[in-house]
Amino acid sequence: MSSEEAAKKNSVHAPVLSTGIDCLDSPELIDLMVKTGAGEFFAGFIPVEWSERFGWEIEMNRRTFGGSSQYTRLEELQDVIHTVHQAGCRINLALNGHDYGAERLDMVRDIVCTVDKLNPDAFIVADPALMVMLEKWGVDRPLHLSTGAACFNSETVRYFCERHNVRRVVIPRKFTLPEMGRLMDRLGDLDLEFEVMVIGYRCHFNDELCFSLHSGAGSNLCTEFVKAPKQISKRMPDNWKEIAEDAIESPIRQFEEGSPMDVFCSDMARDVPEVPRPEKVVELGTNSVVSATFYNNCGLCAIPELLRMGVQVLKVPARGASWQKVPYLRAVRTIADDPAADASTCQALINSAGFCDLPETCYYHLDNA
Amino acid sequence: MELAIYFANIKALLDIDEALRSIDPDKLPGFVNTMMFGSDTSLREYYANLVGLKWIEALQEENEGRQFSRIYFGQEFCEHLIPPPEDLEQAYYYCMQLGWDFTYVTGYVTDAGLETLQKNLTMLSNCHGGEEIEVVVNDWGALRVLRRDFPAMKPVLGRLLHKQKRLARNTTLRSPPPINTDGIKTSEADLRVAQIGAYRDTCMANPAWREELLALGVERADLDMAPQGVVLPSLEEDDRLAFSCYYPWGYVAGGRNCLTAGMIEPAREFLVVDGSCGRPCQHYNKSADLSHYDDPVIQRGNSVFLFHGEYAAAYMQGKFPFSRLVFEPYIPI
Repeated sequence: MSSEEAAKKNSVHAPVLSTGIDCLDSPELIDLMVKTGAGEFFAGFIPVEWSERFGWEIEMNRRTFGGSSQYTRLEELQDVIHTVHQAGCRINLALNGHDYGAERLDMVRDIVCTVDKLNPDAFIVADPALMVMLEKWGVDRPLHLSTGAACFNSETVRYFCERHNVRRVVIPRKFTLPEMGRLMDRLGDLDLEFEVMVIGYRCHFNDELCFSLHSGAGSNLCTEFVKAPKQISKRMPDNWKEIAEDAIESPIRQFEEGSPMDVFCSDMARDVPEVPRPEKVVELGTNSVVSATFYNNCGLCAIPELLRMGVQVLKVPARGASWQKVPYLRAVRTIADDPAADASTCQALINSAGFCDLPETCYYHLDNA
Repeated sequence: MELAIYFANIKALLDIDEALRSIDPDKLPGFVNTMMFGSDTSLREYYANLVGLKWIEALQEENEGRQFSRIYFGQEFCEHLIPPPEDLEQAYYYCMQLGWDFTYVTGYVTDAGLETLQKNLTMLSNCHGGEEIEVVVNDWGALRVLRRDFPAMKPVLGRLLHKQKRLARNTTLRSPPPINTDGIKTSEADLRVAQIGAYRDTCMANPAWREELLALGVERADLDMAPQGVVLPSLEEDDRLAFSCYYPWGYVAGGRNCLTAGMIEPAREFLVVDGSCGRPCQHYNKSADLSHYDDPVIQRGNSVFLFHGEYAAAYMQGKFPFSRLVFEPYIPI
């Protein structure tokens, strides 16, 4: 690496903060978000014809929780694109459903070609089949590879880049920082932007590998899964079928001491680790429940290293939750603009020792956090 | 229908006779269910495996005693569990001794995992003398590498690249999941019909996408069974892309964080951590008991699986144009 390259690598640039917006966000709020540090926005569009036919659960984008996460009227979308452009910012539209099928494609084409005329800056996509169709429909707007595109390695990114007009890669959330660094290093010859998520709900499973249903009504698998008590058991011994067969042949014998079933039950109960209980932490600052409800997940500590590695865009989601956006932006901007920021800076900003102690609230694993 | 059997590691493969040893679950005394399978969500897997095997035997009978003729071997779900080259080599030669066909199964991988896969593919290529051999790919980057560096190998599109919804959702027992009707005039009943139709309709019904896959050298796609079924082209409509399905375990969701790995390294339950994993999933199961339709979901390692119940019959009885069934005697983790 030349000294010039090394200097470039070590230099930290001001990142763009990309923020999710929806029909609940007034022009005044968008203006405030720009003043707070948002340099870019992203949004989803679900017209009434779609929601009346399929409901909110069938994906036009990955936010399937209801109309409050979307724009639902074309005029509104047109206005917000104009507002954002007037503010000198970009706005990208999310078409990051995992699979658009075949029967729905006529409707998807009409929606995409309509919103394409509004001149968004990019489409955020995940479905390789949709990418093929966009080309066939003559839509050549730059593409951002969503987490749903599962860009776990540099070869996957190259696969998409050699076929489509890819401008940006959103790096999967379930990555370590060194893995991200390697990915970006190996793609250094391509003219690509890299985006990572640093705050807000993180998904317990990998979005790109989650094929369960999501809805704004009732509970989803992931949220229930996180809350549910967990059970630990041993894997059964190799001879478990023999034990079952013995029980079919001699049921009464199984109730004797030393019978196959007796030994099986004892072995299965022996040396089973207990489900670890979370350690009680001293609650300094805001109570961890309050902070976790507000921030959900937080990767502020990782921002300095992400910027050193060359990440250009930090994503601030929260579509459907207008009240969270400005505080999120403020927190991310504060850390991103502070070249001396470290874990203690972030923790002081969050002001909740309990929150920072919970492993489930972190976005990324940092040894020193 | 061709029958394949799938093993995720060499130990399980070498114990194939045990995997195929059948016990009629209906003959198990009730107390056995309680003592062996009833105490924990994860242990239900073993009972379900017996049911799955019984269904496979019935399928074999209906198909004039058709036997297994292909081994699937490898790891789809976790980079830490990719079999080492020596295990893959042993699996390959074991399969050749049986006179069966061999399919190497790969998963989604980071750049480091891709290097491991490349070593395995090189070994497999050397073993097989450059002849065509099947490789299931669940990662577009792995497909790119396969086409570039191992052009003699035949890519099979993996089930993780076919993102059909598996209808998994937390529900009240035996009730369909609620639909969000907020701001919608259409009745919930009509929405449900339209949604089920949409969940059946996937990219595999899109001729342009199938053309793209064929251009990539993909002539077979592996799919999971889904309770709602799937729209696929009939053989008369398009017979160039063949389809397989897995039974009895369908993948629902997973992540690179791992509930079970968190047993020995708590951060791994929620986060991805550098370094090797202690792989406690090979000795322990950790799962959550969730309400979910009639058929249970079970976590194994980093992934959640759905046991295919009655709806599997439609897949086995030729309602859909599947030409291969991949039997999983255990959850392949």
